[in-house]
Amino acid sequence: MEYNPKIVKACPFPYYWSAKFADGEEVAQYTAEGEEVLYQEVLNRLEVGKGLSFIELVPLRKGLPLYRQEIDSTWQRPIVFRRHFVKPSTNEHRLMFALGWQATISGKNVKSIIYIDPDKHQILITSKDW
Amino acid sequence: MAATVDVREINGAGAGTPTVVTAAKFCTADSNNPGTTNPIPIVTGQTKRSYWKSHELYLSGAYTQISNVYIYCDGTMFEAGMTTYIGDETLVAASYQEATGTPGDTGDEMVAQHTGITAKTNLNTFVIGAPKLVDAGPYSTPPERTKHVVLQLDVADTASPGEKGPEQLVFRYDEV
Repeated sequence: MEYNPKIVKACPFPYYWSAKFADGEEVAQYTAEGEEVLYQEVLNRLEVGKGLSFIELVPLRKGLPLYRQEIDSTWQRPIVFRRHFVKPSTNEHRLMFALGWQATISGKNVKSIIYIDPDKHQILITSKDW
Repeated sequence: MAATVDVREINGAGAGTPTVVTAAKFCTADSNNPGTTNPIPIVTGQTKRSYWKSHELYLSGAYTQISNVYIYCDGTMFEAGMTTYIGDETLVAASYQEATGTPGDTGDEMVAQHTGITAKTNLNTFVIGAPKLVDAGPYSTPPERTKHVVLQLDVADTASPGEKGPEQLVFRYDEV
């Protein structure tokens, strides 16, 4: 896998998100020039009914896998966020990445989320937030 | 530029002055950086307290949303004779209240003296699998301040002297 050096320089994280819509449009957290794009751009498109095909966590570090969540926008909504852990006594900062989907099924908000710890090379797949 | 999130301690009178803390320490003064001055004394037959601490997250930079702010520890804060409490309420900035007490001796107890705190819980109750919700948010218009927690360390006469820690206190939040 080749890495865009401008994104590597701009992104402080080992992963960035990239979304592909059903009409072929791609919106990523960083442009090819390394400029940051807020996830609000994805939400804006979903809000007007644009269908999402998939959303990915793209690695920026050798040895890390790419994660892709395929989405059927007729019933699924994507979940993507970074979970931060900060220790005020030592200023230590750790990070996990979350990717998944949620849907309203029989009146219940059902979720499926994969939590990725890029430092420990661990993942957790769960149907609840934790 | 992603979000920049700092843990800040609020000190002083009135609305208080927030300061980014990277080595927070309990002491018997309203100080965010006491070093080894104003330690909490160990006195036979008494429980001495730190001044309470008010900690918040300060959100800046660029983000779509920050939410689900929690706090927890590893369940073993400090050692025998030392108990870290957290106020049951988490407070907006307008409810900040300066910590009080007798410098170098003891802080005033938070439930008795902080008008925004009606009860407190041993922080060891809140661990990674059962953290305390500080502020659900969501926040989406930086810069912003989350609600703050109020923390206080009680030291009984069974505690051992010396500089303790650092301890595994963690703020957790989600960023999109």
